[in-house]
Amino acid sequence: MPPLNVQVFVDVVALLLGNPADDSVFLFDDSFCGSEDSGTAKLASPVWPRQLVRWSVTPLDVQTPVWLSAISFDGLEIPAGTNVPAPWALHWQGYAPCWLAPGTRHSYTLTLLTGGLTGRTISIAGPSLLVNASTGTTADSVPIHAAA
Amino acid sequence: MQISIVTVIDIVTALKEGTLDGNAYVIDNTGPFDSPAGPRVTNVPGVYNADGSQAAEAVLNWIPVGVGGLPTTLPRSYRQLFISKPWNDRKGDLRLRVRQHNKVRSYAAPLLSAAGEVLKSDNVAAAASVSPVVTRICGPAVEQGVLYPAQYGSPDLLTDGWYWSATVDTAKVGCHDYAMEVALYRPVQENGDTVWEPQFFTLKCGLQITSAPGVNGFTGSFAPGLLPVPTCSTVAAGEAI
Repeated sequence: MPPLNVQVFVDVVALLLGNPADDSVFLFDDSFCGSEDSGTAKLASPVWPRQLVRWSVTPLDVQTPVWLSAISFDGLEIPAGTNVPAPWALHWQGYAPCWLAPGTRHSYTLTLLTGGLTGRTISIAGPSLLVNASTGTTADSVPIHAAA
Repeated sequence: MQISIVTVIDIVTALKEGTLDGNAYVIDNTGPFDSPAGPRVTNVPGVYNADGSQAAEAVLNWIPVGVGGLPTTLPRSYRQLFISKPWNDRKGDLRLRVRQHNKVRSYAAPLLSAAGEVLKSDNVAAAASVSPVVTRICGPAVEQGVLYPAQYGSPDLLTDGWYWSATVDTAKVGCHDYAMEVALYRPVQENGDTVWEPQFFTLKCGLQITSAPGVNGFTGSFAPGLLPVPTCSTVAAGEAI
């Protein structure tokens, strides 16, 4: 099963100026079975249980760094970490648990850390993962039968 | 990670004293990453994978500015306002004549003061407004394969369309010295004309390279685990796909 890549593009300057996330954060994924609200902060990405999901963040202006410092699901509070590594050393990926019920939506919140003088953290709520109704029937996991 | 290294130069004093020492200040956008390791030293935070390979690239960009120069935040189009053909026809004598590679070339745009006023090309007091140009990045860090400098295209008119950038081998942790060669321009009289000649200066600088393991934000280790979706999650059902 190919991983699902979610790319987060951030207009950091606009965010720091107080513009709403809807105008400053743009999410895309490479799902081949259709996403909802692609290019917005409300992207809904279809995912299969056991599928690897990767997030990466890119500032629109390369001179204004931004990093993902946390991702939390369904309102789950993020435990305060100890010995947290530098945000630029973090990468965010994980397997969708097999217990996810088909058809359910799991919203998540991205926490962005900007590299400006203030090092502000900004939470972006809105994107979600949508659990596919059928598990694991991707193009490369469907068994190939010999022609009759 | 893109790192901007801005070299602010007191051009008039540097030309007068013949040195950049005490007349040039190096600042960059890596302040939030770490406390500065020293004056004219740039922090370069690196990241490595479990196998030790480099996980993220670090790119340096050098931007020299004069204390009395135009703000770098000014749109490039501002200067372009002055290089339209009718303007050149009327104000051709205002164009700066600069010696580059033993040839005298006319600067395509007029010289502007920090206030945006057009300066006459024979105004010797205009030296502070002629942009400094980085001409070379060299030194031990380059020779030892820490720094890989190259020139890239730029819309800057005085630099002949180039600027210096470099990638860094962040596996080479520690402090590394390099030198920035900068050209400042001084006016000289030549056959009754004012020609701006480059005078070359060297500024010793350094890189403080650190490297951290690129760990998974969810697990705190190199390897990924399960996404932390609550097991008792009774989220509102979305539409099945």
